[in-house]
Amino acid sequence: MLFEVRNLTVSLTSGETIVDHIAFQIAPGEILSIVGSSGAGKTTICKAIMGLLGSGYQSRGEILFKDRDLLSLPSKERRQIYGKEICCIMQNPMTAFNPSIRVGRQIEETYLRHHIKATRTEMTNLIEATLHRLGLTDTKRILKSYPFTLSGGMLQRLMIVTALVNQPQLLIADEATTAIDACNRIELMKELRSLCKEGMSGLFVTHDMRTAAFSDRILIMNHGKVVESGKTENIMKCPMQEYTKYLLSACQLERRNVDD
Amino acid sequence: MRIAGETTKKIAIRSINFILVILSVVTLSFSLQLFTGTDPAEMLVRKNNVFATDEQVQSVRESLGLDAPFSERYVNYIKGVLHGDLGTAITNRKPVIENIANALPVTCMMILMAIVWIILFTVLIAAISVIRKDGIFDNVTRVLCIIGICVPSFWLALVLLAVFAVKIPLFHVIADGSFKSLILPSISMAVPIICIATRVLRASILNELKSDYVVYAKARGFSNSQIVYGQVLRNALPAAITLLAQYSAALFGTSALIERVFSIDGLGSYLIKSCEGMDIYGISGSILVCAILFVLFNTVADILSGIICPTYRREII
Amino acid sequence: MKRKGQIIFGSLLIAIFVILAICAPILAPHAPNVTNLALKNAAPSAEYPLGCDQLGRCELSRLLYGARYSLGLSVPILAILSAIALFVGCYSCYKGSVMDEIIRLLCDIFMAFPVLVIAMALVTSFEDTTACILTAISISMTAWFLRMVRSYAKMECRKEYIEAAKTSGASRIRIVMVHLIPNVLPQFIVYFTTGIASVIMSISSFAFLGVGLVQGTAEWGAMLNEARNSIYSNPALIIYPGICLIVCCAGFNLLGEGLRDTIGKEDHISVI
Repeated sequence: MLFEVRNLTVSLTSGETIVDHIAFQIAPGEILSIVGSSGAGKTTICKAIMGLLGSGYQSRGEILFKDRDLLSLPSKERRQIYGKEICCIMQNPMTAFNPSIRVGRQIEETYLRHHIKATRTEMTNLIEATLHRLGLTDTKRILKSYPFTLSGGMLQRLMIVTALVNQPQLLIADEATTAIDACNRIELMKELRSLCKEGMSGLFVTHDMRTAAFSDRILIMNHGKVVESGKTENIMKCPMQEYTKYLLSACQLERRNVDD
Repeated sequence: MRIAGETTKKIAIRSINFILVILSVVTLSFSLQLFTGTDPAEMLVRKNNVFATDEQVQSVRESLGLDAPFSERYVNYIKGVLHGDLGTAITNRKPVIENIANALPVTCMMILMAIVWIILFTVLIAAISVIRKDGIFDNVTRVLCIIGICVPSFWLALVLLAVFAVKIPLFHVIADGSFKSLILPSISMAVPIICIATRVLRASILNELKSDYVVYAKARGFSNSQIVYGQVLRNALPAAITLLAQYSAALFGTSALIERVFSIDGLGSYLIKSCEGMDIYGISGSILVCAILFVLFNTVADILSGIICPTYRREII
Repeated sequence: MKRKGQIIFGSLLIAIFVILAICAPILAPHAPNVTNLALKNAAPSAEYPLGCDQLGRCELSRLLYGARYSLGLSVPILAILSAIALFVGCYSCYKGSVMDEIIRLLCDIFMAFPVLVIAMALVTSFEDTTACILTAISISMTAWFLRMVRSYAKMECRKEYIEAAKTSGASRIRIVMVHLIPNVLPQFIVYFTTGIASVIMSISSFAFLGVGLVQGTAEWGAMLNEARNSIYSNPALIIYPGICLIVCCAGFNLLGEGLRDTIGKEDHISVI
């Protein structure tokens, strides 16, 4: 198994439990979606995996990546994994990049952080190739721009580029589709899905069942606990739990309103 | 094109503002004599001879050209300033520009050295205390900074003098203007500002650390010091740079305090001397220099901030 | 907890100095200006706890009386000028237009104009020198205060509650008094407390330059100026007034900082 979370419990130091005994597995090439309304603890799981929980949190349990427990790994070794083998896409592309550094340099820095021996031409070629692959042709201009001059959808892709140049084995996307419009959302999910076909695994966090529909398996969460989990088709067709039905109906209701 | 036009407009507004400020400052200092009603000629004569007659005073007044109406002298002065002539000092009858040229280099040198200390220590202390937030270093420097803000620079100068020149004779008691002799004066000028700037920079960095891009950088495997030095600092610096420019420019006006302790004949001392003799040409000249430097420092700070942090450039222009 | 401690400690320091200043005549063992050349630079003794200065005056008594100058002068003038600055700043910022531009320009001018020059120019021509330096400090402090008030008021003016008040038909004065000032006030109080510290420092630095106070006044800055000459013979005279200045300013600064953190309410929760 590439990635496995066992018995993960995250609580505030004040004692409140946010994530309660969560467990799931992700096989190579598989996409798992975690769905739940806001406050369910989805983002906390992502942060726990990425080691982004501040000092106010306590996490117990195991987060195994290639049989190594990320929670107990020393921070120096953990930093070798983040950004290279596990990459993430942030919720809001507009604020994720440092506003005062050119996008190109930010991508390069990330690459060089994990490939110390890489030559300059090698890197430039790789970055350009990746940009082309995501349908961005005007590479020179884009790489030379400051983040605040680019659109959200563009920055979203650039974040994916930043991840892809490092050839990650696991891509974590925390509400990656929230900040962009419906057309771009579908495009993005299709892109991500095709990338995962090539062996990369994905962990997508969303509150929207429509986005989750692109994944292989779904994990429904509410109030820090797993409500239901299973293959996407099964959950979409015959949801067992009330909460899942509720999520699905909320989604359809929205659609019906649009249709009227 | 629209953006370019906008930029030109803002630069124009700023330039007009600068000119207005400098012109007002000069006018104000030139008319100090009107407000206060003191007669420089009388002060000059009475200083040497308390029992001078009115005729003597009148003759001195005429020889200094002070008997002309104020408006005429003012117009002549402004004309002179535009041609680079700051008039003749009343106190020593030399051209003001010469007096300032003698006094300015030492003060400039001292303040530049102070600025070097400030930049060096501020960035270092703030960055380290943020990287190891709530650690020993952070707590110690925080307390030291609170105390340091309250330390009057002239007192620090006296203490440094007492310790490093009197007790341990590393330096001379009287600064002769050489690099070594300006170390103590510049340090005593720098310390209070270092403390203020460190606090501002630390708060600014901590505020910046809450941004999304820090989380993203962390998620890409960058270490804390890489994030602080490479990414956060450049966004946090403008706040500190603006403050630094204001405080360092103000140093020219208050350098008299430090110059007095170390017996330096700098711009501050000259300003005091001119004020004591109500030498409006000397006062106006020195204040003009101070005001120009003040404006210059702030402009340089803005440009520098713009280079370091493009978002700042977008806000300011 | 840390903030509370700062506020309490700062207030405590201020209270101590206020009490010392008020009770100086009772607490001081000697009159501050009685010279006794026999006791020139005397070492500390039971009768003269901190020794004597270069003219044989009791150092402790002089320090106690010095507190009267620092606090007695700075707090009242700052209270008056800040009240004016608060109103004028908020009003002009809300009104905008030419008046605001003029006020902004005036602030710029007086910030670029050294206080020292104003003070010295006034001192050369008026009898009451203390009033002169107070006027000079008031002018420059008002400029800084106005600027600060304007920047905060500008931020508040952009918020929606001001718009709401405007649409409800409130008059300009009412919006400024009822809506704008109360919201600028918290930040302002913080600035006020730290402002006191800087006024104390300014008065002392003038006294140090011999501007403003009568020769031989028991003021901390003036005492430092006189102690300058005894840097070889009695360096302790330099230390005492300086420490008084530092501790007194620290009191106000600690209070201000503590208040700022409490009012700011911002938690520095971050990944680092």
